[in-house]
Amino acid sequence: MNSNTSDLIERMHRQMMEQMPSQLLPPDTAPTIHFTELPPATPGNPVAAEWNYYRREAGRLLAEGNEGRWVLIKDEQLLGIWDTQDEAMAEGYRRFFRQPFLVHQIQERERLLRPGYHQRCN
Amino acid sequence: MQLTFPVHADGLTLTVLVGLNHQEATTLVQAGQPVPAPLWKTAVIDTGSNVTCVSGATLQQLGVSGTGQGSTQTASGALAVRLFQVSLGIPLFGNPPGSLLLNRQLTVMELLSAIPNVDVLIGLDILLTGRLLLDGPVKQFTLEF
Repeated sequence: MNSNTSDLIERMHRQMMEQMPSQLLPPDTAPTIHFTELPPATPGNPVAAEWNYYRREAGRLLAEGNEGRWVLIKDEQLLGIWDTQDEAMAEGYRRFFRQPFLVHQIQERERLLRPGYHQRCN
Repeated sequence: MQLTFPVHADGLTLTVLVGLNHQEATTLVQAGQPVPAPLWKTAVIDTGSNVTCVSGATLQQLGVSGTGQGSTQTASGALAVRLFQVSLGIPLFGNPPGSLLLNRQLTVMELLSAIPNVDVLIGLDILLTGRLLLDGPVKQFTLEF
């Protein structure tokens, strides 16, 4: 690449920079999913019943003012709501040690998990 | 605490320990049962991941039960994923002897599919608690917490 071409490329980039609209900046918000769009559990998931029960009940739990709190669910039974994950987990381990149970935070919008560059194409 | 590692041919890889979480280990001790030893696993630093991920094989080997659910976005739409609570230790080979960066109760996502030679993706949930410095020409990276 000669210097004239190099200059041309730099000039073009600089021109585009000057015209850059502000909306091209990356968003400063993490992608989320609304509770009504939560996907069903995948087949074979040991807490499928618990998760699908939560998906059905999330609207009611939110309407009752529980946003941000943590539920403990076993089978299709809501066993309690706690302020912290640690409290809900401790109760889960106490009652169902080495058995499947679900502890989940009640949120209107949940952050979408992004498992890295390696797994984008699934 | 500052930890320096060499950059390997396969990227920003390091050896970590994955074990039961603090609450689960405590419950086992109280029940008079043995606590399985943490497992040596290969991890890679992945700034594209917003959650630390562990392979299903590792989670199965540890015998931990999934206690959480999350959602991720794939090409074919939103997908439910399993979440687990584990402990994660990063031993500091070549750093001060006995140094260990330890997270006793960490929520991790089960990897959607196996990655060759990698069991753990260390994501931004851990990295954003400290500093990551990549020195490409010297072929080393530093974690500072």
